[in-house]
Amino acid sequence: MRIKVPTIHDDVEHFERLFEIIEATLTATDVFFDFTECEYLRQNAVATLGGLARLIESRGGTVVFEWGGCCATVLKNLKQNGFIRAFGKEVVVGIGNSIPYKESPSKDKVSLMQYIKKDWLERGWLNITADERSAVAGNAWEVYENAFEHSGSAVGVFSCGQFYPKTKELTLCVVDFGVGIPHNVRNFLGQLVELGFSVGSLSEEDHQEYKEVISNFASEDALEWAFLEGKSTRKSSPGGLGLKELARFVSGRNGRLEVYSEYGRAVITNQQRSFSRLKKFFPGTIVHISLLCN
Amino acid sequence: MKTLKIFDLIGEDCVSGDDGRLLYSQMEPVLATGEQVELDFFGVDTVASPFFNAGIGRWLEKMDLKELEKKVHFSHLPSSAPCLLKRVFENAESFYSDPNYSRAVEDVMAKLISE
Repeated sequence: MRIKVPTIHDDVEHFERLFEIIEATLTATDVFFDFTECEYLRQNAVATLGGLARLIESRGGTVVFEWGGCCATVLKNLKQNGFIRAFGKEVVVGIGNSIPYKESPSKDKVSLMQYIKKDWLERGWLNITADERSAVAGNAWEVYENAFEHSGSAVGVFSCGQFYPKTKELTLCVVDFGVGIPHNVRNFLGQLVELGFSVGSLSEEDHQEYKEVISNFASEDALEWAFLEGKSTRKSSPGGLGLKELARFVSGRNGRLEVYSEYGRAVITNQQRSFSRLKKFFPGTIVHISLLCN
Repeated sequence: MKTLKIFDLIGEDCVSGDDGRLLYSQMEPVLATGEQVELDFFGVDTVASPFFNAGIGRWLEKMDLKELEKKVHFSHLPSSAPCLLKRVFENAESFYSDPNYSRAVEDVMAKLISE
């Protein structure tokens, strides 16, 4: 199968372009990615395409990125962020303004904390105190902790970021191909309903009604539930502060936190808190952080 | 009072649930004897809620917050920690006071069914 990768920025329509590519390759075994029509790939596309390639490979398929015909801007960017090196072609260039493409097949705390601090927060772009840097590093870690503890992603977690000097925007995108947040929310609520029924606190009629409601719980509503204070899908110990803490920090700094999972999209800024339905399905979770470096 | 040096035990990043479980396991024998414990965070740079949830918040299953505050003392906490700990305690108190999360189900069902 040949996929012509289009230009992909990080607005919602472009995320949906990415999800179209994923949908097209769901059952494919051999995929050729052609970049001849691509004029730019933002960090969300880099992390997601890298993860998709590893997902296809994990199914026994092969992936070929065809760099011939790729425009100089895209090629330079993919060299700088290490994507081309990750897929087998050794190149020696500086990293420019990229936060390198990173594959994390397992939860390696030392490596991930180094990435969060050294590669993302300590590049001199973000004007924050050491205490603030430490706080945001802790919040960012939780994105990874959640992905490893709850997603069940068979291929791990993929990250990439970029600093945009003109807009002073610093981004980081973290992608997993796991079960997705809405799935975990439905699963959690479903288990509680079964528990309630088993101890006699729910009637048969309510039991059936609740089960039906939960199975139809829309992705965007499930995402909204996950962002409510005090809500967590953990059953044996308290949890669930990660995304909320991150949202507080990002919106408090005029930044933007977006989460894509299944058909759901959450956008949190200091002026907006919206949960909407996408046209395309994403099989996993993407956390996209954008900070303003004023 | 027994002092646990968190940097020596875990390092400068106390962020994961695994880190928290390690801390919990170190606190357990001390608190079991009735001795108080001081958690000294000198040298720790970063903390995150999975660490506090698993290491500290879980104690609220066995004792209330007032008792915990008498038995567990913190020193040299990173500046982001007190605010985070406060939320972790609130979250853990809510979790353990409603272990079946019955209110969570009721809340969401009431909302969904009314729509």
